[in-house]
Amino acid sequence: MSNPSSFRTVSLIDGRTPERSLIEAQVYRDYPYVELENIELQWADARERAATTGNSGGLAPMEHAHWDWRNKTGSVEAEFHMPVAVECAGFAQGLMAVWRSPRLSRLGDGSVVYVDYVESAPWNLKGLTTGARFLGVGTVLLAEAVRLSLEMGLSGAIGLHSLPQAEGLYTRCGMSRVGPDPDYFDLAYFEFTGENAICWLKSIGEKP
Amino acid sequence: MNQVAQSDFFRQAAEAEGGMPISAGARVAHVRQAVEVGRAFFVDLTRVPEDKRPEVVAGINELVKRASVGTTQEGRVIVAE
Repeated sequence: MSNPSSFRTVSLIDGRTPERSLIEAQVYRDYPYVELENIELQWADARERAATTGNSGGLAPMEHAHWDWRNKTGSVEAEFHMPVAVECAGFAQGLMAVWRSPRLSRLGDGSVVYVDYVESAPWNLKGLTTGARFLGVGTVLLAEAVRLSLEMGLSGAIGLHSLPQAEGLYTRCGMSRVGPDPDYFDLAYFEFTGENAICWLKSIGEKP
Repeated sequence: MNQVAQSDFFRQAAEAEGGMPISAGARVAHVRQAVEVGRAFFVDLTRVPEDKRPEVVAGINELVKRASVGTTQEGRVIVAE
C-alpha cells in the first residue's frame, strides 16, 4: 500500500515550550512501508549520536537495537502487518505495527489486536537529548490500537510484549501484566481487556 | 465533557509518559541473542503457505520437546514472525 488508508488529528505536548503547549499531530494507518526503513535509519543515527555523547536516555542496550523493517517489509507489503505512524513537525515521532489478524486472548475467551512493535523517535526520550521533544506518543499509539480493536469488533482488547523499560507505561494505563513469555524472548506480555481499554480511553478524554 | 477538560485528561497521560521508552516487540538483538545461546534457530517458512505454518511450527516444537526429554529445561521454539 503506497498511501495511508486513514489519518486522524491528535495532540502531543511540545516539551520544549515553557508552557508545554499542545501541538497538532496526525496518526496515519497503513503508513507507506517505503518510509519505514528510512525512519529506522534516521532514528538509529540519532541513537548513535546520543550514545557517543553518553546519553543513553534510560534505555537498556537491547532497547537501542532496531526492529528489522527489512525483514518485515514483506509482511507489511502482504498486508499481514499494519504500520501506524504519528507525525508531527514534519517527522515521524512514533511507529507501531499491528497484526491485522486477531490473536487469542490470554486473559479471556475472546481475541485481541496484537501490537507487534512500538517505538518512539529517540529525540522524544528524556535524557537522550536535552529534553523530550514531544510527549504523548505512547498514549496516542496505544489509543489507536484500542480504536482498531473496537473497529474490528474486539471490544478494545489488545496485547503486546513490552520491553523492560516501557513496562511502567503499560501498567499505568491499566493493562494486565500476564508475565514473562518464554516463547517470546522472555519479554513481559501485557493485555488490555476490552473493559479496561474503554475505561482508559475515556480517562484520556477520548470517546470510544 | 468540554474540549478543555478532554485536553487536560490527555495532557495528564502524556506528561506521565515523562519521556520514558514506550518500546514493545522484540528487536533484532533479542533474536540474535536467543540464537547465540541456542534458544532459537532460524527456519525459513516463507515458502510454506501461511495456513500451514502453525502445523510446521507445532511439528518442530514436538521434535524439540522429544529431544529435550531428560534435560532440566523444557525445550521450546521461539517463533519470531
